[in-house]
Amino acid sequence: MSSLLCPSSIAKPGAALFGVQTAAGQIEYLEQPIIVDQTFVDKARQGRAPEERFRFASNCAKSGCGHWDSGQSGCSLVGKVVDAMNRKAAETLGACAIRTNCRWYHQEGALACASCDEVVRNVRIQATTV
Amino acid sequence: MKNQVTTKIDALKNQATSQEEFMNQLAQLDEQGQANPELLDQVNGGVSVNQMPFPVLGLWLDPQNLPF
Repeated sequence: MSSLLCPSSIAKPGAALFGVQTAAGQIEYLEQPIIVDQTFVDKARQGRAPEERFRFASNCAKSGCGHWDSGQSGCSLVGKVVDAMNRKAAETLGACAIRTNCRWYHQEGALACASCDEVVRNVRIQATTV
Repeated sequence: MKNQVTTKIDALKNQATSQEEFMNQLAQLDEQGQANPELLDQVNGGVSVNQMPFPVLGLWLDPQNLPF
């Protein structure tokens, strides 16, 4: 089985852009993901944090991520998101270009999708002055 | 029917003369969606070990429907 995708990835070359945050704060999903490159990342970093404007997916890092629960062999974050949002699963899911390979959907099913469109990922980059 | 964002991105793609230009234009797309900074702190997400950018996953909630 190919690697599942983390739907809360940072902007990095090779990541799949699959949603854009609208003025209402929710996510509009693209019909097809766009693989971004270094040019995109460099330019996007010049403006508002790309993770606050877009949604990116990349391969789940599993044990390389602080949210990996080795006991459950899964992502612990999606459970927190589902609990925090406390939303009901929709009977009909909206289109999502990454769902079939999404780590969150794989674990929580439609409950993950119910909360996903209100999730943004914010990166706080530590000021590094050398 | 295509959503507005997809339509906008399609337009950027059609106008761009190269992949580099498309990436540049796409990177500047900002629909001005705002997340509540307090809520951004509620769920700490995507913590990667030994990586400098330490990400925080935030939840955007409609202020009209806050559960608290």
